[in-house]
Amino acid sequence: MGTPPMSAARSPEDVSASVASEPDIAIAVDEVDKVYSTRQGNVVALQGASLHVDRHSFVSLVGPSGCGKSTLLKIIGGLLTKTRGTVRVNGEEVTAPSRDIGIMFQTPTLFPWRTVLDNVLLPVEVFGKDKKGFLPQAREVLRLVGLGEFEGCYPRELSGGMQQRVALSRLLIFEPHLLLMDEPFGALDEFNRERLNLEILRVWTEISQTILFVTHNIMEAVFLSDRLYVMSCAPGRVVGIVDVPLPRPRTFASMHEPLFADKVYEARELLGVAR
Amino acid sequence: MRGDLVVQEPETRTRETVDAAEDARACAPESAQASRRADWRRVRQDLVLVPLVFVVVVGLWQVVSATELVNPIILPTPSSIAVSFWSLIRADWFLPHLYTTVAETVIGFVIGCGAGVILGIMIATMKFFRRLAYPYVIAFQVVPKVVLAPIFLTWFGFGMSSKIALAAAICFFPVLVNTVLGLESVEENAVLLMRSLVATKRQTFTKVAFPHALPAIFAGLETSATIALIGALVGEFITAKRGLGLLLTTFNMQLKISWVFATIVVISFVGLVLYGSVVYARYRIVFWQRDWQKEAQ
Repeated sequence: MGTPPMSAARSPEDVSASVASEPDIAIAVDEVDKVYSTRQGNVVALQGASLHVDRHSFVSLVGPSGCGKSTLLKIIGGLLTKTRGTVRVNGEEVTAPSRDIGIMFQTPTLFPWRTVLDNVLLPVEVFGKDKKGFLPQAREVLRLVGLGEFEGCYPRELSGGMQQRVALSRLLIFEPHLLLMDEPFGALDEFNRERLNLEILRVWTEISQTILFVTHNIMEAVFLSDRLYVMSCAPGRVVGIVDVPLPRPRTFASMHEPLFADKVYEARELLGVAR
Repeated sequence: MRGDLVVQEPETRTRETVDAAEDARACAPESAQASRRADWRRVRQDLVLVPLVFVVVVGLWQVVSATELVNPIILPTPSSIAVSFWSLIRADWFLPHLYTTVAETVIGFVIGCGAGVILGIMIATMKFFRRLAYPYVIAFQVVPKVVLAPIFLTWFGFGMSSKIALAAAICFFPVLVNTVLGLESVEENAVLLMRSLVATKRQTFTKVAFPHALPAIFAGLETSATIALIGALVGEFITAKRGLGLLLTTFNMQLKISWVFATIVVISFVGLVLYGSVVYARYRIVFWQRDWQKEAQ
């Protein structure tokens, strides 16, 4: 985007730490357990979950509802604590939320009292930066998601798909190195979802940040990702990895390649075997 | 499986732009105009029908008491009430009474609602304070506030302060309860979003929780605006030097029933203006939750 990242530059110690561990790994999750204590006893939401995400890659967590995908995503984002195991993002142990990580939910979570532009500028405000100085960047990220003319609208005047694009712009403005997306288009209809999938790939090639994408839709996951981590329920765990070496940029035509069907089948089989 | 959806990248872009243009039109005022015309037609019908009901009811009432079907001392004719009303509002002793009641009500409303919002914020944001205070709040809420009137007269005297205190006590609870409810109903993802941005507690409150609670707070303010007058009037019924409540009881004891009705008309008008002001304030401040917008969509 040609604008300097808002987050502070990393200190030399951090850089050496990430060099000491594997430099090209954005996320390293090792043997993570998550146990919830309830009145009925302990519920194991995640058991021995491990995954590695290369920097600048697009990786999906795919699996049925309630298999701990969102839990794992929130642990990586520092929004939930883990019971056991290690989670490193860019070589640093995750213990709390970080402004280096941006997260997007199934709901757009826009504030109805703010215009589209002011919603996008929310992170700038929270970080205590000069809002006016970031107006060009805000307009740039809105243009990037195709909402350049809607900056003065209120969220209620936009469709669900457009609202999610605003939510995406709100992430892009502070240029986090890692984008965590928790079924961001799960609430949209099929047509809007497919449009936004293409859109997200286009944006991703422009910004080249790392994306970890959670979905229960296998075809969506294969279409978008370099790699799938297939998860299974009760307890939530990773049951397999599917690498998708389909060429990029991908279009809907990619879905007609034999490799696409193979990969979808591979993921299905992993889920079938797991059950 | 998705053969009919094979679209190359450039074409997709075109479809995007077309859709964006449609979306833009949906946002434009033209489409709103049609629904606004329909609204206007309904408003015009209402402007005829609603006054018609008034004319019919008042006409019947006039006939019933003018023909002495009902004793006019008990139920004075609307025309005599109108005459009394005209004399009342032109009397030189009337305005001090009106000012007194309006001032008591408005000051009591502001104090009671202010305290309700502040205590509501404290209860919703401080867990320990909530545990200490909320049981008493709930217990006190079931007490009918008018029972406090005699005590407040003893404490604050026969002047305006006792009525202000009573109005404030009545206004306090609806606002408090709604403030707590509003602050606690914040969307979970909105809080997660703020946490992911490493926002301070203060930022999360001012940028998310409080604006989110405003519609609920205004619901409480509207309720209080309708009942604030009760506090002032009940206080005045018991003992007062001035006020519409004093006028009303005095006229009643003098059996000047048409003057009682005239006073009731004045009181209703005061209530209407107070309530209307709060509704207007809500309309301006909580602009993202206007009912007519919801209906139109």
